[in-house]
Amino acid sequence: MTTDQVAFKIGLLGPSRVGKTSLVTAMLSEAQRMLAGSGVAMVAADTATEVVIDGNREALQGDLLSGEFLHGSLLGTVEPTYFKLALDPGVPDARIDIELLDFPGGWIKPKDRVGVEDQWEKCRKFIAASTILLVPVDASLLMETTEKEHLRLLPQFLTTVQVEQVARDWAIERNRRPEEPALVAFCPVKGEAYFNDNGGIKNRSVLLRQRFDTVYAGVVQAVRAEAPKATILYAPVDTIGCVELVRADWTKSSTGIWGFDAKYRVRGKAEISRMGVDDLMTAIAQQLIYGKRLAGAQESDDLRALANRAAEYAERSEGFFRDIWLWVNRERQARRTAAAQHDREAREALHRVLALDAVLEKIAAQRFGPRVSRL
Amino acid sequence: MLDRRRARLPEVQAVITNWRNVDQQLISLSSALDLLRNHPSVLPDAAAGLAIPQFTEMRAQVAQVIEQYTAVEARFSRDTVNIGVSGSARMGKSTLLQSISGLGDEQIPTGRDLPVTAIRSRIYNSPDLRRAVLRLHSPESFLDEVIKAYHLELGFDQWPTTLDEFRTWNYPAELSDPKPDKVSLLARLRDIHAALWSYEQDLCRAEREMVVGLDHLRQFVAYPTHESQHSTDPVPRRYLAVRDARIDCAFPHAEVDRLGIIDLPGLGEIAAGAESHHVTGLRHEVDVVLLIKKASETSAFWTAADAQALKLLDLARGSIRNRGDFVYLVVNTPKGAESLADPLRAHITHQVNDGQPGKYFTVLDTDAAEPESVRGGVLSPLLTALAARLPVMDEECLAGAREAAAGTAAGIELMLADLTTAMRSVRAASGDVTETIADQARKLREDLAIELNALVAELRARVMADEDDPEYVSAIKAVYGDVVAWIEGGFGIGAETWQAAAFRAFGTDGSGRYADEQINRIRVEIGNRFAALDTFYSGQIERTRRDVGLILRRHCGDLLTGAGEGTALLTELADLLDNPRNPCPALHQAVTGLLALRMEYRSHLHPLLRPQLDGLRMQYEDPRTGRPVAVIVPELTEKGARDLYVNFTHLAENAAHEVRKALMAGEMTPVMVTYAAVEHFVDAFIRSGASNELGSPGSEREFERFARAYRDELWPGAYQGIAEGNVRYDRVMTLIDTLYGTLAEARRAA
Repeated sequence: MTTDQVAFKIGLLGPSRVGKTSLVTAMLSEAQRMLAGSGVAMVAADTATEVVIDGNREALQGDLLSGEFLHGSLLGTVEPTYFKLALDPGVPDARIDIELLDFPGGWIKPKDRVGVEDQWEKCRKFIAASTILLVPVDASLLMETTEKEHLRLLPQFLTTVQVEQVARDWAIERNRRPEEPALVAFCPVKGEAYFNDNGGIKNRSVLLRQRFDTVYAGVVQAVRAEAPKATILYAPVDTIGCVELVRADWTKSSTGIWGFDAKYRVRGKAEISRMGVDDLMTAIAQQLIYGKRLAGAQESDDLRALANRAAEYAERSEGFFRDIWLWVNRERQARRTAAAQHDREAREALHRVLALDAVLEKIAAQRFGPRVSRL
Repeated sequence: MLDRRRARLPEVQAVITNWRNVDQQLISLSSALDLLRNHPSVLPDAAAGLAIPQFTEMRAQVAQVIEQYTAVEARFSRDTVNIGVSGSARMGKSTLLQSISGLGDEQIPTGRDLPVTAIRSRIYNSPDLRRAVLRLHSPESFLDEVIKAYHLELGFDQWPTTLDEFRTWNYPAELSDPKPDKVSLLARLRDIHAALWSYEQDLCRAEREMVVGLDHLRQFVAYPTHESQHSTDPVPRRYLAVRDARIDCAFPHAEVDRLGIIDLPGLGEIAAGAESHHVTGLRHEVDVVLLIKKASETSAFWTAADAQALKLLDLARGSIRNRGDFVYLVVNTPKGAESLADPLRAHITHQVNDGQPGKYFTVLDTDAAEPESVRGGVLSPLLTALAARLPVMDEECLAGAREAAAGTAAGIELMLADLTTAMRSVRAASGDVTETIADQARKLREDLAIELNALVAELRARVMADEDDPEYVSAIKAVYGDVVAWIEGGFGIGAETWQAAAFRAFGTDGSGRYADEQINRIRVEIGNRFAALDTFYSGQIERTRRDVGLILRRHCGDLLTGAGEGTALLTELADLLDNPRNPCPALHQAVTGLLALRMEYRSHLHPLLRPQLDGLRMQYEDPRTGRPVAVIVPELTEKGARDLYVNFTHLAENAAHEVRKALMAGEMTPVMVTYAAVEHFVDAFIRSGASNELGSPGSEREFERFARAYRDELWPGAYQGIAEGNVRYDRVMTLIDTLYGTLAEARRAA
């Protein structure tokens, strides 16, 4: 937790088992693919994260090998989970820490966070410091629910009420910092069956979007109302790609507890084929680059005043700008070190730091795929 | 003068006939109104006006008119000028009659003491005849008019109704309450009873008239003499069998030709209740009345009884204006009583003529016992006066009758006008059959619209409900469960058997053919199994038809009670609506449309759901490359067979899942289908407009046709009652019109 004050923070909002770990795993994997050969690595920054991601990968591999698997949705658990990643150019103190918090939606109601107030406060601060909210959306729940009795359960299973509340608080905080970028990305997951651009036969993406708009209208409106400048993206993600929904059933236990079970089969050659994760990474990179540019603007006379304000703001601000400021300072420090030492090692370090900058610029410059739309 | 009278007789008789008709028609009208008023179709408010107000009084007025015209008729139909001779007992009436007629005591008995005239006679001048015609009682009329009157007067509860009963009747010797008048009555009754033997044969004659020679007349018109009454022999009383007597004889005075004299009872001698009847009789029988007052020691002044007698005679005058035209006073002055005559005349002048001789009444003087005196003092001046006044009196009588008739007719016509108004309100309230059918048809349509709209609203509420139709969800789940069970059970043959068969097939044909056959089989089987929903769909539609049918039956009286329910009922209704005489094409089409409603999985839903089975195929086109891609290419091994089986179960499960999902999310749910169908049915059945294509005048008119065609089944008994009510109504209206006509006819005739 030593990087609390310097990590790039991303909030994850969604119910348990919606696929947040799979999304983080996919992001890590996709980042590694995108950074391959750049000299910059995306790594799990702590052991806990490494363990969780490894476990997720192993489970996924198992599912793929079995040819079919069940994926259930349950009512949310209330344990916060932190994922720590890092963009590491291989230069000490030059890496960018990225921290993601799986926000326990169950804590939104005061009565449900009795006894965990300290953790709640920590979560609240984390969300306030986040410039990005990722909202995984269970596409199968949206698409496979047809009975009215079950449709009424969707807000409960998708935790849209809690998501809306946290997103609203986050948006209010973002609105207080107009210079800072803000991004909410709604990421339908488990939606491989509804697209035909990644091995599927039928394209039901329009219907998926319609259902998302219906169910998440409140969340989108809350963000738009509280943070008008925030970027809101609809970015469906295939975290696996080579799976297809077989059937889905709403079930009710003998104790009256509802559950939603989806059965998937592995299609084709069981090769993971992620889709849309690169769009998500592009959006994140754009956030980083935007901040970096803002922080570096002090070199321009015209932007000096703004840079000064940004610097001052960074001194008293948590989160994003502090992180970016540190990153910029490290880059400068590397340049100065390289200039002063003129040695090979220093130049190499400078090269790596600049490579991180370049690769992020490159990723940020990518155009969003056709699945992505701005809301 | 008499001929002129007779010439006018037909018109008077015509008027009388009309007024008698009026009376009968009033009775008929009253009865008809009673019937109409009591008919169920007549509402209480309207019934109140269906009566002849003061019916009894109105009939009395009509009777009065008839009586007046009858009096005129009697007057105009006389062959003689009739002079009534009236006066108290012992005034010389019979003596006067003898003097005028030339008859003697044998025919017109006189006596010094007791009253001797038992039967009043009408005596007519007849040069060629000399006889008496007696009109006799029958036993019944005798017992009813004579004996019963005595019994009632004496306070007896019972009276004899046959002569045998009368003969054996046991009369008391004396009364418990011996008032003098009653004692006298009882004595007379006992005399009558005792003398039955003498007149019984006359009562029992076959002929009701008996002609008697004038020489033997006395026993039939006079009371027994004092001597015979007190002899020991039984006293005969044949006069008791006689109602009245007509005597024809030649009057001694040749100048008097067509003259009759009527012996009137002594006024004041008859019971009070009989006086009005007597007066009516006077009016019918006489043209003029002589009221005799005898100048004698006991009656030389005008008494109160005389005044009462004059008053009664004045009543008989009727419409004759001048009292003196109808009544003449005769002062009978026997020889030796001349000195009494002057005071009597003076008293009469004072009491009757207001002190001026002849002011109101003419006073004639005569000695009744002297025919010449009678001729000169009575007949000559009387007949002279009558020659001038009788035509005037005739006109006055006729005018009086006309006046009474006009007043009564006006009253009746006013009543008829009120009644006509009341009848209009009855018609407005109940209407005739045609109007009522139209009203009933309209109401039927409205009532059906209300209930059918409620059914539509109920179905719409189910369509719009927050909950899915639970029956439909259950039906889909059941069928889906069956399909999944079939899949999980190895496509009906078991997983191992299926895989073994697949492996065997691989050996001969490779994997492709078997896989193709199986995938097709699976697709067909899934479709077939979902078609089991047809049972549910048809049940839903039949239930809808039953709901509609029950509403129709509830409002269609007995028309559809014999039919079954649902389809059977609607089929029968469709047949009824296809009536050549009263075709209802729009209604028929609406019903047959509902009967034709189908919802079948194969024909209606499968085409829509077919894309959900697209996954059940062995290869598909890759959307990214456009190239065909095999779903699976299994190894030709047991593992390959197992892989194929797993793959097919996944595809089949997904297809079943997609079909189920599409059914649940589909627009075409049974309740939507039935809602749309019933809504369309109601629109067509209740609200369709005129259509040339169908040859329909529109729903509203077709309901009228339907109502006309089946009115007795739709509203059992109602139209039978309406027809009956209309007959009663028409009867009243006819009688009103007839009465108007009869009154007009009477007016014209008068």
